[in-house]
Parts: sequence; structure tokens; C-alpha cells
Amino acid sequence: MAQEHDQEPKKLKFPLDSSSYKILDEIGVGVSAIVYKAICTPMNSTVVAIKSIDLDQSRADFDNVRWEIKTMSLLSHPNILKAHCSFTVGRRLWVVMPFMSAGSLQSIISSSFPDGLSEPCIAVVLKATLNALSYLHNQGHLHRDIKAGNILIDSNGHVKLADFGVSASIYESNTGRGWASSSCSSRLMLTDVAGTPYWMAPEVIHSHTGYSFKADIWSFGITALELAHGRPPLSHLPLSKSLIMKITKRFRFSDYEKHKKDHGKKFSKAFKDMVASCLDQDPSKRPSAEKLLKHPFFKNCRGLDFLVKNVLHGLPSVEERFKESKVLHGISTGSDNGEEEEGTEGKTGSEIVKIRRISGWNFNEEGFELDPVFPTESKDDSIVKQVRFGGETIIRDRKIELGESGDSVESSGRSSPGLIAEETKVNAHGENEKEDKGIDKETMVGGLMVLKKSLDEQRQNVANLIGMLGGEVSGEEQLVQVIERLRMELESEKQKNFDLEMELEFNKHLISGAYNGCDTE
Amino acid sequence: MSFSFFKPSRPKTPQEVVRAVKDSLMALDTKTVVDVKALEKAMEEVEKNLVAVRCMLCGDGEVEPNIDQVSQLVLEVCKEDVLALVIHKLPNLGWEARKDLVHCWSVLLKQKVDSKYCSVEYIENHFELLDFLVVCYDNKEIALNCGLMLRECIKFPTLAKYILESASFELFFKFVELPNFDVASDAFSTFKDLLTKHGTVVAEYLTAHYDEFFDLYEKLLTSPNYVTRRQSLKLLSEFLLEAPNSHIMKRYVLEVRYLKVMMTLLKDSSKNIQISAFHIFKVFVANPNKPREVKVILAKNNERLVELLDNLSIGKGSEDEQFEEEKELIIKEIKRLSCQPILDS
Repeated sequence: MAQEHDQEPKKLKFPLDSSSYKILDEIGVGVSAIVYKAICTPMNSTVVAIKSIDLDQSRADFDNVRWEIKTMSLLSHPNILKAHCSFTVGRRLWVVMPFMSAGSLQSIISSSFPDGLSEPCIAVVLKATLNALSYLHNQGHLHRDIKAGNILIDSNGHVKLADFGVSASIYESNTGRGWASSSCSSRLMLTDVAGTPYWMAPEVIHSHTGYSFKADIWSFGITALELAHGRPPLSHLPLSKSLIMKITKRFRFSDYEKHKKDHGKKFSKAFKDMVASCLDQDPSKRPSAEKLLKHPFFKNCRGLDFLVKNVLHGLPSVEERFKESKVLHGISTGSDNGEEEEGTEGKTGSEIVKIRRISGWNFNEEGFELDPVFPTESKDDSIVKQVRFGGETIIRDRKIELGESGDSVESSGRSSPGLIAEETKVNAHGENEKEDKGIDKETMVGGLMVLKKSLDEQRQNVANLIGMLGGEVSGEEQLVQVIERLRMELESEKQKNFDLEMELEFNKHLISGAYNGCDTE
Repeated sequence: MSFSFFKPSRPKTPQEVVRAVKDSLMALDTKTVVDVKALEKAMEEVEKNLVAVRCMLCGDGEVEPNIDQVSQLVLEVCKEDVLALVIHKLPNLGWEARKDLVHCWSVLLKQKVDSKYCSVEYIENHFELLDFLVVCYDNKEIALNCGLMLRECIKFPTLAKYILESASFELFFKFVELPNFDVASDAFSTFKDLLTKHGTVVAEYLTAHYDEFFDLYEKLLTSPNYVTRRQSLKLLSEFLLEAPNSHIMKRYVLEVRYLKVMMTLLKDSSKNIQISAFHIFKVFVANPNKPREVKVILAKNNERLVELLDNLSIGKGSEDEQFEEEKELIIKEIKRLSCQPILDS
């Protein structure tokens, strides 16, 4: 058929038997998958990457794997990594893919750019990523796992988005200088999955009504910060703390504020503005991928050679990096960059702050990240917004505490995440052992319950204190409380309404045909 | 995506849109032989027209589709035999055109005009189209597109029934083992839909074709391919334990031949397969009306079976308790059988 060269010009038929491939090196490991560098002997020894997935490890069904493979097969875009072919070898599934010789951006950064990439380089990478996202979204797909670890580069500087919707990340090295090891010095299981939650949009973590394309945009914004700073924001905190912080809307915003001016990297206004728009708490206010492409930040974007010259030049090979990371990992988890302090995992707010200082992290990052979150909002507003996340009761309690007694309570509130985090970590760990799917509902509910309990206790404490100090709650204050409560209720109703609207919107989307994945099963 | 390029100055009527698609599809034939340039042009034309259809059916993201127009379009597509035409031309289309087509397909099928599914009726009068789609699994280029279209069809009981009872159905037993994992697993999804979507249709089919179906199915269960074994075993328990199929299940668990298959799977090297096998095996054992042959086999192998079951456990989890309970019951029953005198004679 003459049409075969129509859309996919260099469609080569890769052989479907393992004997045609010769494995050269291991270049990545996940919970149930290994990624190899290999050559395909009958095809001129073309270099390929083979992701070998242990199917017997996925207990439920291989629906996930099937979904990923099928999704990949039906997509075709220069910035999306497409498998050459896939076939089973005994109990393992081999997915043969083009070999992206420079590996993932996460591994590039952690090996050679611990402080992040320069802005022009970031622009090149992000633009390619946006092209891929825009295509994906147009086709009705969500990626769900946008992060530097899933953005790959080949030797010519071609950028491709990889890993659709699931399981072990390809090329994702679990070196985790710092952020991965900090979150799980004693729990190696977590390393494999730890990455993802840092990139998750708030609505993905909390929503009962589901989420849409805009969740990818959030993760894209976080990825931008990851490229700029060398690690995702909040990642100096253990995984569960980061999660809890998101739920509770970052109690320590004021802390970040203080350090904002101290440290160094300067970013252009265009970049900050672009990232800020992606990290809007309200998904509907985040721009679409298509719209983002038109952002001034991507004007005058450099070409691929720029990336080759400035990033890839002199970079150790993927294999070397992987080996190095394995060695590092084997010896000690927290020995690099004097970050062992992170192992202490602060129990109280003040300790956390200290740790951050010690680890020498660029606090500007946090301000940078949080700027878009509350720039024009008063402190109160930011608290009110919590309603969107937790259950209503939690919020109400919280609100009253904070609203009433200001700083002192806030600082006592601050100590709670530490406690909670300890609890949640245990949960998260247990869950992750079972299933390599990041954080699930049970874990979240567990964490939230603990949080609620702790908040209740604190509320009680505050009430006791007030009582002890003889500060009886005056009638006026009671009235204020009632008003506050009503306001919260209103707020939560608004949120419900908003959720419904989102759902409606999503359904409309389904019907109106932007939804192309006719076969979501 | 720049649909706007193609936006005509005056909006076309549904009739015109359908006409244009039809003409451009027909043109593919004659021009294909002439030269590459002409072919390219013709393909472009098809693609453009399919986008127009898609816009009319689904809107373009800004403008919602017009219900009247959609109805007219559906009627016109059926009247002009475009539904048949697009299927037959599918292999000749380009990548994007195929995807547009698949998208339109699902909307066309679901569209009711005067409370009738016109497109479905059209296919009911042209069942050979379904056969054509099934055979497409053999063409790797279009297999996944056809798979999507087929599964849209299978949502309608009459169409699912036709495929189940057609000669094409047998092909699935081959397709699910194709070496290309993406194609094979897509074929399996369709196969699964066929056997699970419409309970009564499936029950009727299984009743009428019991022997031939389970003959073929045994080959899947004993396949050397791990994926085939695991998926087919799981699927078997899914449809066999469905309420409308209970008489099929009762018949199945009387057969020594299938008991042996399950016992082999209980010994499989994969724990996942062992556990799935247990869930069917237990029905053979728990069946109060076990035929003599079944009892004999169970009794004869009781030691080996008990040992196997003893070593079988899910591990952690909530189903664990129930699983252990069931296991105990089954072991008890096997032990009981082994002490009974019926075995001799």
C-alpha cells in the first residue's frame, strides 16, 4: 500500500522475538520493570531501549500495561516517544523503543546540573513538552505524569515525552540526589514511586469528581520549577509532608517569604509569569497547552543545537549515570551534598526550617512557586481556600483556630504536619509495597484522618487555654464564629457547585468530541 | 490543529458534506493507480472532508454541534452507503484520517434519529461489514482502529450477537495470540467485550455452541503463552460465574476434561495463574452433584492437591481471609472424598 509512508515515513518493522536483540546495559530500574540499552542485530544493530516489564507482578490485571501500550500505539507526534514494537518474552513484556541517548532530564540534572538549567535551555525543553501535551490533549488523552524524569532527550537534542499513564518510569534513575533519598532514607521501596506526588495537581490529590487536562498543566508548571532549580518544589520535605502541605495549603508560606530575597537565581518575568499561570489553584484558570505555547516565554526559543551545546556536551552516558547512581545508592542514601541532615526529618516546624537552611536549598524557589498561589490574597483567603481540599469539618476547625487566635495557634498548627507526616509515611509505605501506583485513596484518607484528629486535639487545647486564661468567649466573638462557620459552609457549597460544573464541563467535552480516546474501558 | 484552514466561507449542508466525503473516498480508487502526487492530493481531500464531518458531528471546540444537522448527516451517511464505503477504504487512509474516522464512527453509531439507531440498523442490513472489521486485525496498520470501531459496534446487542455467531468469531482465538502485543491485547479487549457485555446474548450463544466454544477455549487455557493463559483464565471466571451463564457453568464443572485443565493450571509456575485457577477449580470441588469421574480424579490426586492448596496463598490483603476459608473448605472436601469407598469398582 502506497499510503504506508504517508504519515510515518520511516516505519521499520522491528522483529518480535527476543533473540533478535542483544542487551548491552541496564539503564533504569523500576518496581516491576527494567530498562536496557540493546541493539537489534537484524536491523544493522540499531540501538534501542527495551523496557522489560514483569507482568506477573501486576496482580490485578494488565489493564494498565495494555492501556499504556495501546495509547502509545495510537499516538504519533515528533515529541512523543513511540514504541517500535512490543511482545512478550515468557512472563515479561518487552517494549522496544528508540534509544534516547541523553536519558531523562531528571537524570541529566541530577548528574550534571544540580542547580537547574539555564532559562534558554528550559525554554527549549518546555516548548517541546508543550507541543507533545497540546497534541495529547487534542487527542483526548491526559498524560498524568509530567515530570523531568519522563522527558527524554536523544543525542541530537530531540525532546520526547515518555511513559503514558503508568507504572515504572522509563529512564527514571532512582539516584534521587537529595529529594528521593531524603524522603526515604530507610525505605527504599518508596524511591521508585516517590517522585510523582510532588508534581501532582491539588485537584488530583483531592478531587472526588476527577480532574482534567489542567492537571497536566499543573504538573508542567512544577516540572518547569524542577528544571529551574534541579528538583521539584517541596521535595526537600519527605514525601508525605509535601502531600500534607498541599492539603493544608502550605502553612509555612510566611517562612518562604522571609527567605525570598536572600538567595540567588534570577528568573525572567516571562518565566515566572508562565509558571505562575500553570500553578493556579483553580484548574479553570490555568491556560491550555496550546495557549501556553503562545506565551512570551517561548518567543525566540532556541533550537536543538543550543540544547546539545549547553546541556548534552560532556554529559556522562546514560549507562554511566545509571551505574554511578547505583553505586551512590548502594553506599549511603544521604551522603551527598551534606544533606544527611535531612535524615533527621524534623519533628517540629522549627526543625524543618533549620533543615532547610542546612541543606542549602534555594528558598527563592519556594517563593517562586508560591507566588502565584496567593499573590493578591490575604492570609485569610488562603486559609479559606482550604475548604476545597480537606473534608469540611477539618476546615471549619482549622479556620476558627487560625482566624481567632492568630500567630500563636498558627505556630502550634505548624507542628502538626511533622506528626502527621510520620503517620502517613508509614501508611504510604505500606501501600506502596503493594502497588507501585504512587499514593492511593486509602493513604490519603489515612493521612487526612490523622490530620483531622490532630487538629481536633489542638482545637481542644486552644479552647482549654482560653478557658484557663479566663478569656471567656464573648457574645460578639461567638457571633463572629457563627458567621465564620456560615461563610465556610457557603464556601464549601460554592466548591461543590464548582466541582459539578467541572464535571459538566468534562462531560460536555466527552460528548463534544475533544475526547478521542473512544476506548477508555 | 488548524481546522480553520479548511473552514469554508459558507457553511455546507449535511448533504453536501456527505457528498464530498463520498466523492473523495471514491476518488481514492482511480487516482491511486495514476501517480503519487495525485494520490497525495486525494488523501488530503479525504482528510479535509472527514474533518468537516467530524466538526459537524462533534463541534469544533467552540461551536456546539447542531442537533438537526447531526440527524440529517446520520441519515445521509446511511442513505448514501458511506458507512460501508469508509470501512472498505479504511486500509487506504492516512493516519490522521483513520483517527478522525474512528471518532466519527462512535458518534454516528450512538446517534438516534426518531428514536432509531439508523447506523446500527444500517449495519444490521450489512453484517458483512462486521466481518470485514474483524479480519482487519490481521493488518497491523489498522488493527487498533478497527478494534475501536468493533468495540463501538459490540455495545449494541444485535451486532455483538452477529459476531459471536459468525464464522469470524473463531478468528479471535488466533488474534489474541498474535505476536504484536498491542494488537493481541486489543483483540483480547474485543473478545472480552463480546463475552461479557450482553449477558443473555452470550448465554444463548454458549448454550448453542457449547462444545465448539469450550474446545477452542481449552487451547487458550493451555497455551504456552503466559499472557494468553492468564488472561483467558481470568476471563473464563468472569463470564462463567455470571448469573445468566449458570447453566453453562453447571455443565462445565461436570467435565473431567476441564477439571484436568484447571488442575494443570493450579500447578502453573505463575502464582497469579494458580490463584485464578483456584477460583474455578473450587467450583468443581464444591459442586454437590459431582459425577463419579470427577470424584475419582479428586480422590486419586488428593495428596498432591492438598499439598498444592496448602502452599497457595494470596499473601496480604482483605480477600485473604475469604480465600483461606474457601481453601479450607475445598481441602476438607477433597480429603472427605479420598476416604469414600466409591472409588474402587
